[in-house]
Amino acid sequence: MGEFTREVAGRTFSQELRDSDLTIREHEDQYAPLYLITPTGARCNRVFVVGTLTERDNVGAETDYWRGRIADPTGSIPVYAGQYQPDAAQALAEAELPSFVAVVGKPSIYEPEEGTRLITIRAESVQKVDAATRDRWIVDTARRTLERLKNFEPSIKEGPDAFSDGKQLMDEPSEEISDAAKAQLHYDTDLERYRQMVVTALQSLEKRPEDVIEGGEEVSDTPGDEGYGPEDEGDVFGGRFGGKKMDEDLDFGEEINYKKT
Amino acid sequence: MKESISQIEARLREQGVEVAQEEIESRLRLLVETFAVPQNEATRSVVNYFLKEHGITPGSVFSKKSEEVEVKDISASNCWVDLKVKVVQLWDPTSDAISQTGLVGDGTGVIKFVKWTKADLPDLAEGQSYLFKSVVTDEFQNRFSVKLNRTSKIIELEEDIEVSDIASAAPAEEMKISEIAEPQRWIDLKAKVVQLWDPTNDAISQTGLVGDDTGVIKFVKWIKSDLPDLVEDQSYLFKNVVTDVFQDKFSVKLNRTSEISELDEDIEVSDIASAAPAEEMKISEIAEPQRWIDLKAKVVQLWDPTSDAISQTGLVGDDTGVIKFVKWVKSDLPELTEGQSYLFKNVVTDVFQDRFSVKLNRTSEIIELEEDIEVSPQIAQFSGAIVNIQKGSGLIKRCPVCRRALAKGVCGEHGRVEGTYDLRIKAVMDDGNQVQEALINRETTERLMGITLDEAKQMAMEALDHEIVMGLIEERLVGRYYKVTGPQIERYILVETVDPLPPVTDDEVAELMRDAEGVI
Repeated sequence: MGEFTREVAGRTFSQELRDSDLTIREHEDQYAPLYLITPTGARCNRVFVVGTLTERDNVGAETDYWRGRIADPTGSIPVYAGQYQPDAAQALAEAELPSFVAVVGKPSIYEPEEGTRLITIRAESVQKVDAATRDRWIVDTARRTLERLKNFEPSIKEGPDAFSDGKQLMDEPSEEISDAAKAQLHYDTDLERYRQMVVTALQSLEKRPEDVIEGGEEVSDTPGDEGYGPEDEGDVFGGRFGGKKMDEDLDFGEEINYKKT
Repeated sequence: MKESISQIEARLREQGVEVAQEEIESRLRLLVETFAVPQNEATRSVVNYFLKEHGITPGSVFSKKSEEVEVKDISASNCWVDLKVKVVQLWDPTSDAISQTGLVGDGTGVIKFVKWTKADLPDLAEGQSYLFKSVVTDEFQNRFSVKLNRTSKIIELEEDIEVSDIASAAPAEEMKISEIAEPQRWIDLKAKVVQLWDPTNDAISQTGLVGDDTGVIKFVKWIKSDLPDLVEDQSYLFKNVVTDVFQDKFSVKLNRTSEISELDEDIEVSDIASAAPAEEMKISEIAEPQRWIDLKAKVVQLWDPTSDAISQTGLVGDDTGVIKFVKWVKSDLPELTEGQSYLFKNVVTDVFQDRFSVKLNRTSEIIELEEDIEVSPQIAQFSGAIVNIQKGSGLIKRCPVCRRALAKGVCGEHGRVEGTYDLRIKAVMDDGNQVQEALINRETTERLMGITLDEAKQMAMEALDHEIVMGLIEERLVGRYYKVTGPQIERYILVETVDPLPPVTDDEVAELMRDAEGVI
């Protein structure tokens, strides 16, 4: 008698979430849940994100369809809510900009064309929260991400082939270790990139506002932050990851035209 | 910062928008400093903000591209798809919002569909094949369905779509009760009627338990099925009945396409009230309903019986946990005393809303023990974010007889009753590694929310809506971090204390930073 258990909400920073494009299903059964495996091996059928809502627009035509953008210290991720998520859509519609929000939702993968997969979050719930909750989420997510990085130990000790030669997989690894192996094989995970991501996120908590005012430049010099350089010019409306620029705003077949009204 | 400001200024100028540098700077600082948004994200946001201020808005053409798929391809919710299917079955809609519902199928499988009343679409006929255009997929408890809404189209097909499996082709398979493991299977069953219960609903003609030599199962016979009445202790062959599941318990439904024929043979019924000697168990080992067991336990608490049929009820415990018990009046058993330990012989397990209990009935025995059983309350604690407030939270009504929460004014056991108000929260907590359900009772809810039951009633009365209390709870709790403690009973913590997690300390951050340095 199978008991229905709710899927755990993954904790990943937006930078890592946007780098993700590996999905797995445990078995062939059409009812088996779909998981996103992130570069550090987080297994997400659901995610929990707390960050700053920086933008929101109603991009629906016949019915309301809200798109928001949630920023954390490592980047941002698009969040959608339509007529099937009425509470989340209403929360997006009514939210102040900027404000801290907590989002529970399902990662959603969109392939605008062969070979390009874009991650968005389909919100189940959007709630206004305070700065203390956002800080707590950064600590929570940093801790979970570090735990996942530790699962890569075999590949650090024995080289990147530790997983791929099947040695680790032979002695029935835990689900966490085997997800790390899947991530390693698929992404060839650059562990330093995600270690730096965690450091960047934690540094945002160490900074007091007055420090920033003293040396405003520091913010963009944060290690791991790619900053906003000339190469990004003309990309203000788009994303920041290589070939995915601009495309992300085309999610779900919609077209964005900036028009003077 | 200066560089970003000039970039923003230039970008705005391109669109013919002039904004003072100070204005740009203050917006940018708000995002970067107060809200910790990365510089490049903040830049983007500031540009969009001022463009919008000046009437340049991201207009959009929202075209939903749907893709033709087969039933088996449906593996995610919220996808727009086209489907060529035949209507296999139409069911009675359970809500006015639904105009039609049932099963459709193609060569690869069958799937539930829901056609909303608002969709204003033509009626579907059983056995007819259609092309569904732009229908949206949905998921509930890992099962998929398709929803037909206003943007969907239905086109009748000349061709006849072949449907695999269920209800069409596939003859119902004869099964034993213990083999029933999934809902919506059409099966044949040879079983004896063990018990008949009073139907709780006008749509039901008979309900109760049937059993064979592998177990017992609940059955429901619909009025509409027009099937003959079943008699207790008679054995039958039930042909073409459909399995169902509710709260992890399976049942079989007898409907219009089902057949019932009386059997001459007498089917042996295992378990319940018959054979199988009861096994001695610890409370924590109780994991399924309708098992006959022996239990050594101490009476921890006696509660006021909520029904005339109950002589005593409360909690009994052993060193592995506590469990609710119910002693029926009909059982004619001796009175239990709080604090006394007993051997309970041949009691039967039950489950309701994922919580187990034991029932003491006529075949049970109670033997007083000299020894004092030690009771472990299994206090648990959990810290994490509240990610969901479940239905049935907030201002609810309970059955005055059995205290069960009413669904739309109806008690599962006692039918339509005048309920009494209560306040409670069923929260789902999540720490990123595991999920924990937490039940918060009225007293704790009142403390946590700073609102009394009376105030909640007042609010609901003014808003003419009970849901307003649930909305308030969601607004306050979802997305926040809490620590709860209380006894763990099955998948729930019965919350005794609930506190927000304290603000992040510098030490916590420093420790994680050290971890981050050494991690790889």
